Amino acid sequence: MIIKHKWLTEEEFVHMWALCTLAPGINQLSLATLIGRKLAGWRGIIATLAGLLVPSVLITTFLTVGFTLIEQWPPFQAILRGVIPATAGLMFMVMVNMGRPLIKESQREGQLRLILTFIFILMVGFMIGFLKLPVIAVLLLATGLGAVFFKAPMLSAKEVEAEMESPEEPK
Amino acid sequence: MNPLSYFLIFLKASLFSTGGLGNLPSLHQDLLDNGWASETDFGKAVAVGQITPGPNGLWVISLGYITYGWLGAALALAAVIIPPFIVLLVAAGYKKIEHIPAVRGLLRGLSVAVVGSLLATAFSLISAPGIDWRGWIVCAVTVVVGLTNRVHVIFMLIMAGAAGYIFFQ
Repeated sequence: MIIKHKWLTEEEFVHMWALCTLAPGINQLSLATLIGRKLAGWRGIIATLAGLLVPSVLITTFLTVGFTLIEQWPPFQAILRGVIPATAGLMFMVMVNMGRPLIKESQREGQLRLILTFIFILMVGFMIGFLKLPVIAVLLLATGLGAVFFKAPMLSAKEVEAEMESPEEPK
Repeated sequence: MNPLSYFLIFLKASLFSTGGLGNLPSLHQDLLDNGWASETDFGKAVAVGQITPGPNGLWVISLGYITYGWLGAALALAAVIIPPFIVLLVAAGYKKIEHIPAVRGLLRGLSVAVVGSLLATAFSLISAPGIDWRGWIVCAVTVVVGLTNRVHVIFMLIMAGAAGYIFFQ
């Protein structure tokens, strides 16, 4: 879409997306920030973020309001008892989709990396789920250990592109 | 509820997250510890987030509204808008860090850990009181059907709702 309007080249877009995967938070918002700045500086950032956020934030909010209004209605309570476990299922699914490229990458690097990846996932799950350690502390610990155990060159633009074609999360 | 600590909980979760649900485990832990949210609040918010268009990460606005009304929604929105600006710093410093192998290692460590933390959170949600074997079946079917990537999320949630209506009405 953006490429069609000749606002960015394909290459610029891929580079921007690579930067966004390095930044925290919602990647689409980071991307909108970079594109906005490139097109029109600060005013561009405000425009792209507003364009992305205003419709979806309004829809999310009003849907939630409607949701809380009918929540006490008994048939809806029954429906919710089906929907809640399904959202847990979606979390497992997101987890598998996020984990899959990481596991594939470590598989290419040999058995040791593959085993390390599984140990990381299970250790973090254990520390948060059973030991109830603070999530951020565990994430920071794993990040630090990652610098030691997962040293690797940065992804090339081509690999980033391949990652983009297999989105991490269900839409 | 203290609005400032509520906001900081959301901001902290977003600052240390990747992807739309990356902030879920930290929010889950902090809000439950403070008694500011229940397990089902998270299920509801994620469900709303999945059926609305736009970035998945906006589910936290729904969580904000469910747990703290309009103020909660506004604070949650602010907390997700701020962290993406860090990309401007990343863009400025990228040339310096792109050749350091440890940087990629750091990011991979974080991504792998986010996967592990989601495992813990999803497990906690599914073992909450009020979810029995029928809920586990719905959860298992969702995972299996979802991973085929053939069925839209909205349709899966509708089917889960229908299953709930049949099981529990």
